[in-house]
Amino acid sequence: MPRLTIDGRPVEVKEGATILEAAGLLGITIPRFCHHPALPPAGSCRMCVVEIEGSPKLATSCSTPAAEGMKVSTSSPAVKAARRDVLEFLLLNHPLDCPICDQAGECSLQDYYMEHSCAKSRFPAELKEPRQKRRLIGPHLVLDNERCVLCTRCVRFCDEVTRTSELFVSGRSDASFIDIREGKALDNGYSLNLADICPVGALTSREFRFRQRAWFLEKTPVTCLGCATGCRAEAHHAGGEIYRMVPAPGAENAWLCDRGRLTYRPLRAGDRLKKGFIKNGYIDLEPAVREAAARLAGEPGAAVLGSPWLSVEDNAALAALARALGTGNYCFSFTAESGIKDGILVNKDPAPNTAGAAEAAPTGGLDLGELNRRIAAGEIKALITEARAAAFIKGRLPDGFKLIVFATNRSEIPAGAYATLPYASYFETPGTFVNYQGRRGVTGPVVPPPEGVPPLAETAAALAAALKGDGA
Amino acid sequence: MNERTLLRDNVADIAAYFAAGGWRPLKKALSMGRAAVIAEVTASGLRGRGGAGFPTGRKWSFVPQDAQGPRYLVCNADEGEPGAFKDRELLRRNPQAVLEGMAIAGYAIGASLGYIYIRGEFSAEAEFLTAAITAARAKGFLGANILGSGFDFDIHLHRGAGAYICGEETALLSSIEGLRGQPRLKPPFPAVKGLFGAPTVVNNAETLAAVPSILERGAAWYASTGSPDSPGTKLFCVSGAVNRPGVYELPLGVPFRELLETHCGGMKDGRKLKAVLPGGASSPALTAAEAMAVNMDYASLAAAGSMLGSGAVIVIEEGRCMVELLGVLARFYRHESCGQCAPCREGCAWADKLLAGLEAGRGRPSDVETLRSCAAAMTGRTICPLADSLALPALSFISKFRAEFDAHAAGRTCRAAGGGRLA
Amino acid sequence: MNRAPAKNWDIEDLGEGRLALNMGPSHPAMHGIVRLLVTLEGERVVSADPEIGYLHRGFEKTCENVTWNQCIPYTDRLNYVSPFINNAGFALAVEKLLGVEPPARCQYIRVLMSEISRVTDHLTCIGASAMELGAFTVYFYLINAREAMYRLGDLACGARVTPAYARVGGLANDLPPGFAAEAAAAFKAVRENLADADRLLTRNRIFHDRLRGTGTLTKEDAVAMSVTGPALRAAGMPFDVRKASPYLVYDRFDFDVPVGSNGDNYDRYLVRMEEIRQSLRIAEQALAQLPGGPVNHPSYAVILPPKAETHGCIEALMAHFKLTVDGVKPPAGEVYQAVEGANGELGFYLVSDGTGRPWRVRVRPPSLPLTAALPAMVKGGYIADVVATFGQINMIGGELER
Repeated sequence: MPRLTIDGRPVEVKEGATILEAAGLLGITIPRFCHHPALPPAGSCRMCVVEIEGSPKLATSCSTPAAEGMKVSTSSPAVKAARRDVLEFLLLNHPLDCPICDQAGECSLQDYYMEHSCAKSRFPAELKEPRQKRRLIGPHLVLDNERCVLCTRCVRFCDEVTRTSELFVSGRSDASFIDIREGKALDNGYSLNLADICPVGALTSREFRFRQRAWFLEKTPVTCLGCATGCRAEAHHAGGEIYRMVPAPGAENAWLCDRGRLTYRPLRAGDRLKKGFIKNGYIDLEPAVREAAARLAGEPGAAVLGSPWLSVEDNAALAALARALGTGNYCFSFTAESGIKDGILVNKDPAPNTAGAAEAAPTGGLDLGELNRRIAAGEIKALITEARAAAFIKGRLPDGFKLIVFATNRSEIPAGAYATLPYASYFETPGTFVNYQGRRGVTGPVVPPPEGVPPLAETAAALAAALKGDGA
Repeated sequence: MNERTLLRDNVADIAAYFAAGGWRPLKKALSMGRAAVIAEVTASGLRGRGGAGFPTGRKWSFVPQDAQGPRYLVCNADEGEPGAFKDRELLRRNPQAVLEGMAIAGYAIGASLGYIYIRGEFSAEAEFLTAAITAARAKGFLGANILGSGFDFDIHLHRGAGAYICGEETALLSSIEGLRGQPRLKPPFPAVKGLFGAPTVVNNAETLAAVPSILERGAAWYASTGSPDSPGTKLFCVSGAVNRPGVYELPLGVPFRELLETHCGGMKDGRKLKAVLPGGASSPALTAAEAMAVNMDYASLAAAGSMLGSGAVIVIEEGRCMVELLGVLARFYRHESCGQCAPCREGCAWADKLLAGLEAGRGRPSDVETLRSCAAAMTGRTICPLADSLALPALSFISKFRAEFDAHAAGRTCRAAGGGRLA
Repeated sequence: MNRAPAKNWDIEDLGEGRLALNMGPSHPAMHGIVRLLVTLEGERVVSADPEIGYLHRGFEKTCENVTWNQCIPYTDRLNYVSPFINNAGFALAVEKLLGVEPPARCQYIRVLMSEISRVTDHLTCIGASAMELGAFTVYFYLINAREAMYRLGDLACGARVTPAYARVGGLANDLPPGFAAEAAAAFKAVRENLADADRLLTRNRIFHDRLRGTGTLTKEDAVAMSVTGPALRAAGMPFDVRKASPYLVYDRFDFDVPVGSNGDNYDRYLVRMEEIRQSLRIAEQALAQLPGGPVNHPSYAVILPPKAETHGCIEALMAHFKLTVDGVKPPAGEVYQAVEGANGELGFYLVSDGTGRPWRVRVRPPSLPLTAALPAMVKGGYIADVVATFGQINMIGGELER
């Protein structure tokens, strides 16, 4: 466990830790472009250099292991001059894009320039090298080679994390540029992480492009509900709208998969349900609830199916509805193979709350097989569930079967659904979820739901009340 | 004593080489044991001839004794330095010495495969070398169980593809591996983790060619030649306005005056000496007075503020524009930078642009100071010394020939006056 | 019903012949909005209790949520009759935190505009005070003079009353060409109107009787109550921040500080009349000595770069972005910077936490001690004297209550 001194302060680190990591333990953040904690070091940007006593040259702290007895300075005049020089070099050809660049406000060049330089320009703008801009290199990203500082974080990410190696440095010297290999597209399922790790506006997200300025964004921790892995994320929002999701700082998951990262998009999609939907027509929520309750009460064999896409609380509300119906036809237990399936983050179980749903009905009820048997045999004639869970009903729905679903978007509504009720998503209302490792936590709310769309539990309670009124 | 051990006459053919005593040193080495061979080369004081001047025996000893798996011996015949053409001469006239040196080195470090990385432009020399290797193999000096010793060693010739940066040892290794030719972070050093991740020693061709003579005549003999801090002979390749440019094998420590006047026949056409780059295009310039007072060895040139480097001596005559010359260097280094590190990638390009402006008389008064500070900001700040290779000469030119730079900054251009390119 | 206790204790014990009179907050003479609860015995004031807060808008708290430069428009609305002084004082305080000094040209212009503000403040005070005593014509004469000053302010920065002219490290913009000529004409107009007002008021029997010997505050009491400005100098204490701790380039100008002796309303009037003449004197010297050069500090860490640079190089463009979004970032620390406001020592106590937004902004409003001293000034006098006194202390609500 080497002990060393950084800026006069002692610190002890694990064997093999770098000086940069050691400084981090002391709360000293050394500026850097090419270093990223989850990627192998490149040591090429030269911004992280520090002065080591007894060494004639400055050393890159990202790639130099901390050694016993080392005396390091992160703020000596030589180090400060080196940082100013690196910034000057990187800015020589940097385009005047700030007004149209999404990275403004969270850009390493901007931030480091103000903190470590503020030197005046010595290079006429008309001599800046023009390069390719606005390259669409995949479904999610835009590449701008003029803004790129060739830190190669993107190349190393594709090489080491997704192991797809779509990106490489083409050309040599100051004609080097990031390029995509012939015949490939940047669609490895984790591409949006590149927009996060690019320290400048060279790689930006198409979804986020020009939609909001970073300094207006508020940040709220959330759990991703895209699968059973339940990555910790952070939703960035302003004025009641979510603009993007990023991995939560300090989370176990250094990344997010593209699919999970975009799970906020349906909230404001054009087909977001703000009313009920019955027989291909919109209907206000209150009459929709009455109609749904009437159907459930009217059919002798009504059933309630929970959903591993709903929170613990909303499943419990559905269980309470089942009790109000007085039926034994309910199911909250789902089995799914779980575990990381792509070696990075995506889970074999696509639902976020398989474990948590079961808490709604620890005893009693049916299993899915029995539920399906009773539906096929005509013993169950109406069923209420959440839209995605309707897929657990196997085979064609019998004629006249009344399938009532809760859905957030019209595109979710399964074929054959009789009535659909809207509900507030878990970006809009809190929900407890249990991931595949048994880790439980509350996610949301981040933004308000659309006007007039209540949490599912509220509508379920209204249904239960309506049933009492009708006399089940 | 001006005995030549490298550029001997009539030893290109393997039969002639053998008749002159060649391939016996290998046999001797095989009977000494690896540790003794390393000790011998270390004791000789042989220093790397590619430019860095690192003690060769010590470099060999960095390979861990107990490392598992293969080791590799690589001969650096990339010779990319502008002004250097000594390895080409060596490979033409005495290729067997290079091969034998590789075999001895391979034995010493426990390698069974050696690579020669030869500059892509040397197509004729590559053919020649291939024939030399084939001939050595045919005679049993390369291949399996050499001379019945149980030592296997073969050589694979790898041709470069035109990048100067691949003369840097770790970029060279990456090139052989088929990766982008750019230097790697050190540590880990190649001796611990090199080619394909295995312990590797990279030596310059001239260095390896000196090894057989050391084994043949002993470390004490070698150490007695040349100068105390720089034993042995060196191939000096002299270019510029001299009567007899070319490659000269001379003991290290020879005074520059002797090299210029005795061996190269002095300046051509009565021209006067203006400046010298004693170690190739990457060495700081010496004024005529400084050059005439210096000896050609590592210590003396370092003390004079320059370096021996590869021994590529560029002689500059009065009337040659130093601004234009630096522009030539900047254009070269800008083109050849691998582009990894910001200071080199951007600094070489910036220097090139500034010098282009100064050369054309479009410079601004502040450009000279900007150029100087750009060079200073590149020095000692990069993964490999390519940036220093431009920066140190630039700083020396500006420091010693400031008036020329200031005149250009005030609008002068030499082109109209007929100032030309380096031949 | 639970009532808050009456603040004027004498109400409990009014007794025979005493009257509790509520002046304001909605009262033409309680301008700036102050409520004065007065206990009268006949026409004599037994006690007076000022109640303030009607114009409190949360200036100090607001400043904690904006960047340092975004505070400048709010400073306009402190003493809104002399806004340039507030701008300059605040900017000076932040510059002290940063450890920078703006260029000389900026400092001269700030002095020039501050003195123009002092003139507008004094003209308003005297004019309104005269009007409240019945001298309507004087009010119009002096407002006419004030117009000339407002037009100068408008020329400089585009606004008459809300200039937001200073920036941390410089000014919003330089003076336009031709300003000196306009200023000369304006000062001439002011002097003419002032001479007219002087002829109408200074030896006017009614004006004199209303002001002489009324609202008196002794020098000792004034000092004890932290009164500063014309009211303090009228009482005989020659304290002026511009002379006591010179700031900007005040130490390069010749000017006198008028000092009274009686500490009554009449002396306050005389002090202000003379101060107007001295302010014009300073302004003319500043214009005559105005150096060339830039008005803004050269460092990109302090103030927005010139537009040509912002549009011409990436460094200035980035600095523009960061200064606008994050704000200028003085190192963590605290500072107190005082300037001579029209009413006295205007102080800014600033605490920085190293970010672009203030941690704490505290204004020392010169009007506060003056308003607190009002009861002492009116006690024992006639009810009519309250109007004269309140007019002469020049309480400005924006500054008093922030």
